[in-house]
Amino acid sequence: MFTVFDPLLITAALLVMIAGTAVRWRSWQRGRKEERSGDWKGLCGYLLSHRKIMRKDRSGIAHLLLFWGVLLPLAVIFLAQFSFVLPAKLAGALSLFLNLLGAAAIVGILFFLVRRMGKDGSPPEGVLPPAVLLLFILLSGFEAQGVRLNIVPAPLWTAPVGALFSALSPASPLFLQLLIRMHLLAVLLLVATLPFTFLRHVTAGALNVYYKSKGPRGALRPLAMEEGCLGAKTVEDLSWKQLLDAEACVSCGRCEENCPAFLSGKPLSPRKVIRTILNQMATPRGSHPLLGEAVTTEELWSCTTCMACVAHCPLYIDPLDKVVDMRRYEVLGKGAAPVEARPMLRNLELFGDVNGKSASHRTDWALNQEVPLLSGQPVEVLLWVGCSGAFHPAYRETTRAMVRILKKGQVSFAILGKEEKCCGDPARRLGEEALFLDLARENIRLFNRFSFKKIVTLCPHCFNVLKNEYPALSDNLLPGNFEVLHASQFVLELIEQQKITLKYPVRSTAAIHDPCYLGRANGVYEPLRKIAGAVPGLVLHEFQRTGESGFCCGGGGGRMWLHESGTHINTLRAKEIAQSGVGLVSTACPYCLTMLEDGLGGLELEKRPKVRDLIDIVADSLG
Amino acid sequence: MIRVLARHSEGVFDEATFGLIAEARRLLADIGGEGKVTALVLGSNLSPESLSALGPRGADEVLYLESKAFERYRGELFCEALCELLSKGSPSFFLMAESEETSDLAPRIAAHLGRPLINRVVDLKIPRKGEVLAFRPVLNGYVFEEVAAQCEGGPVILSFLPSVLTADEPDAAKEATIRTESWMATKTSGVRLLEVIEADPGSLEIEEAPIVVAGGRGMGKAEGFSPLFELAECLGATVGGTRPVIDAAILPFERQIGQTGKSVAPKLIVNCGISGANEYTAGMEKSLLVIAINKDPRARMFNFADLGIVADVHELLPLLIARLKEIKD
Ligand SMILES: Cc1cc2nc3c(=O)[nH]c(=O)nc-3n(C[C@H](O)[C@H](O)[C@H](O)COP(=O)(O)OP(=O)(O)OC[C@H]3O[C@@H](n4cnc5c(N)ncnc54)[C@H](O)[C@@H]3O)c2cc1C
Ligand code: SF4
Ligand code: SF4
Repeated sequence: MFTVFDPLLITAALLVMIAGTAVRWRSWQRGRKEERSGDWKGLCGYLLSHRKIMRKDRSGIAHLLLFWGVLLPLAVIFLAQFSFVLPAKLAGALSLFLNLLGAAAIVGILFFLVRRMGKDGSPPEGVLPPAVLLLFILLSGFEAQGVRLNIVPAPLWTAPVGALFSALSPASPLFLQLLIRMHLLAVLLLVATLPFTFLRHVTAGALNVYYKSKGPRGALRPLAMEEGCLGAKTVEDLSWKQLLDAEACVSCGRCEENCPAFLSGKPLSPRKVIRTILNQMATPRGSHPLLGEAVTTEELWSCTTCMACVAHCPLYIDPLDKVVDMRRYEVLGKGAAPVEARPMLRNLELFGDVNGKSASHRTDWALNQEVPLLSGQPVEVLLWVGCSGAFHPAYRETTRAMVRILKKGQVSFAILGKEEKCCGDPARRLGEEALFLDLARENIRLFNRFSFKKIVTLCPHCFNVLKNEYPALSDNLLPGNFEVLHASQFVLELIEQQKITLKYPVRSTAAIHDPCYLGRANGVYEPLRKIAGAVPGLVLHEFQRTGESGFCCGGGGGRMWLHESGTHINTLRAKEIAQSGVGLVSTACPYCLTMLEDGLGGLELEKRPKVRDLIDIVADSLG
Repeated sequence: MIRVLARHSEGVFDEATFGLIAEARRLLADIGGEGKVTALVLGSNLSPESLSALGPRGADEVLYLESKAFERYRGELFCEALCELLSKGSPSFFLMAESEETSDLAPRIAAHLGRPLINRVVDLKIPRKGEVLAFRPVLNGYVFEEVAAQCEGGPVILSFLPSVLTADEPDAAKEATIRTESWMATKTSGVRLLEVIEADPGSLEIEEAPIVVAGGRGMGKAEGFSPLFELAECLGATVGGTRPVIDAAILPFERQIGQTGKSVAPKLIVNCGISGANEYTAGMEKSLLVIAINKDPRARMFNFADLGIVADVHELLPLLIARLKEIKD
């Protein structure tokens, strides 16, 4: 069957593939350096379980079928090159198995073809040719089997799909030869073009999963300021791993489908951001166009940093860290922070809080509350109040509620009082890295002066920054001898240890709105539900979009200080809440609280569901 | 010798000018105390009494150039006249206060004389003889920079931010010698003044408006806003709104006050039908005089008000407008 040319052809195809891969390899290797370690186990688990890919049912299953439907027959064909004899029964069973797998792969590829075509009739670049080629390979394989069955019959059960093909095929050895040659050529073409089509995700995607980040999702990558980097001006300012991200993207659109900015009609699409980077990587070194020419500032400032894109990408791609790096360049490189946010940034710089009320008012909320101030005395808990907890009129109530709970639980706690500064989250997520570092260092210095075992924060944004971002600061001032907990985690401990009891009923149907920086960023889902379950009278439902798929309130990433045009994200969420019919939405974040209240207010409903922080609910129920 | 540009409106000098003279006196002391502080006044038909206001503030000498052409600011004419004056008597500094006019005038003079100009100055130092060191804010006030200039060969032009200028107490015993000269342009100007169009408060940037009338959801739908516009017209005020008003496209985004809109600090703000959410008050807390009209006596807006009126805006505003019109007539 083989001709003398075949080894030549195969070698040529492999060489083209290797050369192509080397070119692509260089295009992402030129990124900035970054420490990453690989994870074989993680990669194998990922491929075997397919769990991440199957997050979206139908395309996940299609991928699973295609993956095994191509991989296993390939393995068998490879093994078949060595001569050995199998018992007839076993050989028949193997043949049946391969037959079914091949059919499954055809179903998978047809699904993808229809879905990719169906979206808007124009599939992303590089998707169609390899998909058609793959389909051709599978079909020609079966047709060859059909013809062969007509020439050399075999039991029907060993090749049912082949038998179907044989019904319509001639018994021509010449035709069989032709089919086999075409099949082989198609395979070689697929192999040779692999690095140039979206099928390169077979290698780049696997690498990306291998090198996936192991840290908490909520932690942003530090900026290499000491190397003179002020954010991403061109693709070369991104790290090799960030470029590998783009290389691995299959343009599936899952990020986009879950992006609150995209869904509310803003110009941002995380997929487009990644595709833009991919396109610009192809330009020769030193002549990269500015990223700002392809990704507009409106796109950048639309992001709420909710991490839905990160959570849903089947290939562990992180569109958010690119957006933040581009924001950094806008702010640090060009001095072009959005106009509406400038007063807030200035307040942070001058007064250390987002409201510009200054330290002298930071403890006004605690007036007549007898809240202990941290001093030389060691305490168990440092209650981190945060700017919202200290200044936002509604959220001050929540802070007081937390104090009531801590006192009831006889916890030894204290606050930093006037010395506490903003944690720096709004500045960092708006790209003002220098300001973030200043604030963070001041707070860390403060931590080092006192003795406590735990920091408990009310705001998930403070929680995330303190827990995940402070320890990574280059000058590592943090001793790391304390734990950072969110209020919900700590209150659950109190309930479980029966230090507090929830006695008074709160009669309502309720659902949890998962704050992005508790949930997606830190995986804190269960405590909220367990606490709600412990409140007598509360009947808990779940929203349709909840947990990892929870929908953002629209307030993160500094968006609390930015103008929102068109449909508001909080309005979308408010509509979902209204439709769910619950009487109470419980969240655990000052931004969510404000945003949902505002969104529901705007709907002008006859009966408006209440929005409350879980801590307030607990305080109401406290026995 | 130090010269100071005196700014006035029909002969009434403003506080910044007095502050500038005080600054000039300090500077004169710093450079050894020799010479005079001369105030340069450009205008037409100013009375001697009005000019005599500068003496008690510290000017040794007032030089008044009179010309019809000085009725309004005209860059090329002012520049020509001042350059003539500055090239005489070898002054070492020429001081002015930052304004729309001087930001046009100062670079013209500097270019004509070929002398250094430092603008937006907030502080000065004389590190050694013949040199001046000025401080000024850059990057939106985030940082300050030091700028040095050499005094050799003519005046250094310094333009101060008016907010840092504070006047000394007037000393009635002091008097300045006043010289009046009439002035004629020597060159023919390419610019002719055709018409002066006063800024319409309605189209003023809301951050610059001295009086703001703001409306909230309590004003109702678009038609409900007509009394608000009428009130603004009576008061010569600029109209702003809360976010829901902007979302309903009753006012454009440029008119939004608050955390995600503009921060305003007018002399007077009238809040009509506004609940006073934190996100709104964040943008107007620094206003001088705050009036709130709301039918809900518990509205948070009242916490910020110097005068709070519990009333239905649609009942109160027509009465207020009628009364204001009466007073005007
Ligand atoms: C992230 C974020 C950012 C925001 N940014 C801003 C911002 O920049 N600027 C801003 O303004 N808002 C902003 N908001 C919205 C803000 O929280 C409030 O929802 C908004 O300011 C309320 O506007 P309002 O007072 O006009 O409406 P409402 O809160 O509905 O208040 C209407 C008031 O009118 C009174 N009223 C009703 N009828 C009458 C009548 N006939 N006579 C007298 N009084 C009457 C009512 O008693 C009520 O107090 C933001 C919200 C969020 C979540
Ligand atoms: S970034 Fe991930 S989720 Fe988005 S299109 Fe690419 S592969 Fe899909
Ligand atoms: S972080 Fe959220 S808002 Fe930003 S691009 Fe991703 S999904 Fe969209």
